[in-house]
Amino acid sequence: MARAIVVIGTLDTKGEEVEYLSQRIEARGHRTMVVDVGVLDEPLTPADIAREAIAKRGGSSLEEIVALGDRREAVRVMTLGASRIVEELHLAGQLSGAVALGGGTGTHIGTGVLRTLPLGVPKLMVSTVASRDMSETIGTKDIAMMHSVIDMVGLNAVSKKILDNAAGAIVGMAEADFGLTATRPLIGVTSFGFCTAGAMHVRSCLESCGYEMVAFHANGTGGMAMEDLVEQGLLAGVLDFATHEFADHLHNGYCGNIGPGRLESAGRKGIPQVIVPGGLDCIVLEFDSPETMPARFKGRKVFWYDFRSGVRTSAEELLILAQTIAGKLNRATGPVQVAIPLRGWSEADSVDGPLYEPETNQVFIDELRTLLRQDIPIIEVDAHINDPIFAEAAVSALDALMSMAKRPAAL
Amino acid sequence: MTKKILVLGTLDTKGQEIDFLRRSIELSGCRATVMDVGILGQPTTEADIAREDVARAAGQTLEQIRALPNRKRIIGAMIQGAIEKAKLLYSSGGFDGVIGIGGGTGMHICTAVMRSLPIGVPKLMVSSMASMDVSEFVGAKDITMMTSVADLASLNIVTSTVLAQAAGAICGMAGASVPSSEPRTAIAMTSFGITTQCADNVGRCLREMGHELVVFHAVGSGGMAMEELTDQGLFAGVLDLTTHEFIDQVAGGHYGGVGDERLETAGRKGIPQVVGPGGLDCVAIFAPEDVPAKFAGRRTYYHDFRVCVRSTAAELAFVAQILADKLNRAVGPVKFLVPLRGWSSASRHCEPLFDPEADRAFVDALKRSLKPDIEIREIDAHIDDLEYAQAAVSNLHQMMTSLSR
Repeated sequence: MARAIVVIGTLDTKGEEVEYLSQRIEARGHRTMVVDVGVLDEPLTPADIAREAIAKRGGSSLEEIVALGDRREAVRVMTLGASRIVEELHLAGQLSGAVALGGGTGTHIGTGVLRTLPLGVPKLMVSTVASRDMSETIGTKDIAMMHSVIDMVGLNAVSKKILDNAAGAIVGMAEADFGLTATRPLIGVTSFGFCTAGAMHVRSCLESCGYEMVAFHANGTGGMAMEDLVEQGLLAGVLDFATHEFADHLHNGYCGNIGPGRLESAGRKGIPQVIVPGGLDCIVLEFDSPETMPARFKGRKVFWYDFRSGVRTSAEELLILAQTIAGKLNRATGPVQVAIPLRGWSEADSVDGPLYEPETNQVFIDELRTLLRQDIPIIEVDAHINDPIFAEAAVSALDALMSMAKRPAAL
Repeated sequence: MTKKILVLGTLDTKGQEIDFLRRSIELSGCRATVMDVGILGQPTTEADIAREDVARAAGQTLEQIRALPNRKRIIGAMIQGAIEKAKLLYSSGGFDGVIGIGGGTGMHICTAVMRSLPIGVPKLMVSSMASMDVSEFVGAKDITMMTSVADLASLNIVTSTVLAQAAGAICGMAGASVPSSEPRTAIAMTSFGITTQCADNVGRCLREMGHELVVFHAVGSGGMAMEELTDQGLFAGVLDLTTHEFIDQVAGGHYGGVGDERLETAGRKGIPQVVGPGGLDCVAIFAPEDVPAKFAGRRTYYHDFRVCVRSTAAELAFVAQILADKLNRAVGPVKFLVPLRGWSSASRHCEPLFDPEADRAFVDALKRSLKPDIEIREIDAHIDDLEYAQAAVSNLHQMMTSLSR
């Protein structure tokens, strides 16, 4: 059977739109499979996988959830059932991409289903609620969110154009899919704006040692995406270069939206990791003038960036960060090292930078040394995080852990 | 004809990724035009529109922009130049779709350029920051956001997979052409989950009259998108029957993210409008565990993972004042239609939010504040009833025809 693009929607409210979208996909020479995740009213158009089948795979039955009349439960059952069916289609090699469309509820169900597909499978959500906080909706997955601008109630010139763009997008994605195959061991590296130069040095060092770097933007979801790919077994080692997210997490900063699992997957899986305090010198917040600076940070040193700015972390905060990080690293089952650049942890924390405070940084180093397990070494490098010499030291530390990990344990 | 794609990015930090994207776009049979919006470092690959040209379009040299006192102003100048360039290029048919890649700063620049282009022009932003609050970046535009998952700091199996798919997506979108249909008069309407039935009814009534209905999801960005398209002159009339966003704004609900222009564009343009209190009966909260303590004791309606909390007479009187102030400034005809038997499916008779007394406080306040030539009609029906939709449509129709006479 030819592979198909799965089209997900509630056919009682969005039947016309789903039908139009599948027609436009088929006009481009692709087969579609329509999945009806609606519950309430009669479907307006035919489905390839009916709502009854979905409710059943969700561990219930359509009659049961209709009779129950609990919207949340209905959404849960339909999301679960559709996720299972779509996952099976993917595993059977019958799926070349998936597109969902919907409003609030439809987006909740649609992205819930799309999130079950692994990285690399084309995923598109056409949504009326795509212009807001997407962290829970997208999570760490490669879902493309298309903002429909208008509501999906009936076909008209605007909605047709949007759906036509959506058909073009998912078909284009499906045709560009060439699968994931690694040729060299992959190393996950976290980085963010203030230590980009360092990460670029890390990359050339890693490449000359025969590794391929996969960088993650340490912005909250980026760090979590790395954890996710460590779990998927895609990464052979981790250089957690920008642990900045933990500093932002203290004050709900710009990059602070991390989950409890951050900095734990590599340790749990036992893969080698080197940890660097990149960006722990600052908390990044959205303000761009003394007037818009949150009152509780008044008096602190500021690194003015763009619409975001960094404020200096205090010694007290660094103590908490050292405790958090040590607690996580002490639980690691694989080899771990910490590498610390003594001349500053970000562009802002450099000799000429506004947040330069080596004595405050020392508080973190001392606390970490007290709390870390004996067998986790701390390497201090007399350099700035963005200096090539620091990148070399961090990469060679990781390379040593990687080659040790490869040696049989009996030796 | 070969479709043309405008590619935006900072060629000092993302040169390699842009090169890969350009090749992927060309493999898909489209032509790529690369605009370099980088400023600080040296470009690592060649641009079709160089950063110097972008700076010049902002009326400055690259050196002048680099010498600006802070990063915010530097970026602002580059955005201004890039918008000028993109608009000029678009108006001469220079591209059929636009794609941008970047991290935080890149997304800031590229989406500003995309927002300056009309709705319908394919727009795709690939960013490592797409999985957070993107309301400022997407705004009321049809931008598709694709998360890069891994950072766009090198080409590897993760980033090249994402970029290849992005190239496929934008080429697919640019190749998309809408089958043309005969032009009909378009009417805009607001609606949301618990007033959906009303939108269905209105759609049916309008179709019978040969009009086309364009519905906006009243969730903050949706209401603002309607204002924007109204301003573009797309609509002959507006049925703003779900004004729920205002109660969320006043009482701290989830969908209150509207700007000052909300409920003002039709009035300013003199376009006939019928306004209703759809959804003003409740404050929407995203998750049951998020219901703020100040709502303790209020009646609640569990929608799904969202909760609706009953609005009070005091809140409603306040909202009535805001609505009246806005509508009083309208230069075109306005009518306010109140359904007396409930303003959403949560406040039907027998449903938890049924509270005709609080509703009455709103109507009384509205009557006191609206200028006399704006008629308030009370319809003895629920908002979901066909009768209400018919009344709204026929009142709008009347205003439209008397205006065109």
